[in-house]
Amino acid sequence: MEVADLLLVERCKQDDIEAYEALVDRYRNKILNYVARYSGSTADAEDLTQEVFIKAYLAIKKFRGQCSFQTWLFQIASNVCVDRFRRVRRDRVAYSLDEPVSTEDGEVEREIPDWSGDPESVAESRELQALVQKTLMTLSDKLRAVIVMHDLEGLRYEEIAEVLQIPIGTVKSRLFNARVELRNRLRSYVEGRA
Amino acid sequence: MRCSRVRKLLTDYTDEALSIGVEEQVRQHLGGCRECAALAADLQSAVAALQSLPRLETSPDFTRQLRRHLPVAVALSRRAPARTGLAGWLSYLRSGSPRRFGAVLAPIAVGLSVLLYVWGMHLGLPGVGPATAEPVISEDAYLAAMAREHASYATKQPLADSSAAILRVTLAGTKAP
Repeated sequence: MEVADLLLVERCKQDDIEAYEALVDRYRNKILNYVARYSGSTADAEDLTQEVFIKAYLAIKKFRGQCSFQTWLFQIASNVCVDRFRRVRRDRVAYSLDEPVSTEDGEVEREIPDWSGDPESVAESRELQALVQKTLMTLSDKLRAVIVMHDLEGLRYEEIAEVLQIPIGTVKSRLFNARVELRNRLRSYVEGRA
Repeated sequence: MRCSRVRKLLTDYTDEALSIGVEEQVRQHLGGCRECAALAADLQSAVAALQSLPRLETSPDFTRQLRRHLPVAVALSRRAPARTGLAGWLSYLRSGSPRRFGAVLAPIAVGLSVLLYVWGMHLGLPGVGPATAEPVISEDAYLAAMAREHASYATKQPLADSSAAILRVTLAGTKAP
């Protein structure tokens, strides 16, 4: 654990709200990106992030430093996301890769990028970003959690293992499967439209 | 290095988490194995596609909103204490309606009833526990008892014919054990 985090946590336990705000500033964007990419909803992401930090504040006196503060925060975020998914799952509509893409400028017809070459060169487009996000949502919850934590938020295998309470081998195996699934689904879509 | 071994290492290879020696072995294998090389490229493409997603940032007033929410959340958490332990339950009851008392007292009453019933069985109190079994008697003893009872009845309410005398003889011949 970073010393600064530990010190701030100790001050939080003494009801020092400024110390807690310092921790919030440090991790709010990380948590926001995790919940947004995991839930697929940037609209709800900020509310979910607020919920994560409220729950963390209410429970911080029980935090014993058995893992890093970041890991503990991701455990809470993961639980919040799972709870939210349970509540909305029955109303959830399956994502279709053929439906229009939502962008900041409204819904647009999907423009299929030329992805026959280097995907990095075409990944700049907003449409492809939306496609990647939607494809991400077609992965199972378990695979999506691992790939978002690792490839987007940069958590190490050990940290993900602690967050999800699974062995490191399982983390690697899920990460492998998630990457293969994601690539295959993106490719099958692109080839299907070519 | 075999394909199966290389595939197990591809996640670490993609993340550049292998030691230099092992990474070199994997690279050599990929140079000569088209299938494994394609798989490795797929993994790297997936990571690249994901990392093309833009980084999001919280709204500028995120912390201000949180500061406003926290006291409310703290107050709510104190109003609804976890009902663990005696203190938690007492606190729950103190702030509650008669219905809460009912919800708490009904299971206690049922529990006490069961406890008293079991205790009564243990002490052998009358009316508690299963009915005691009747004693087993032989067929002869049963017939003798029936005859005795019948004769006794006939003696008290004698018949006008000779059967009363016969029954008296029967009664005299059967003694209680």
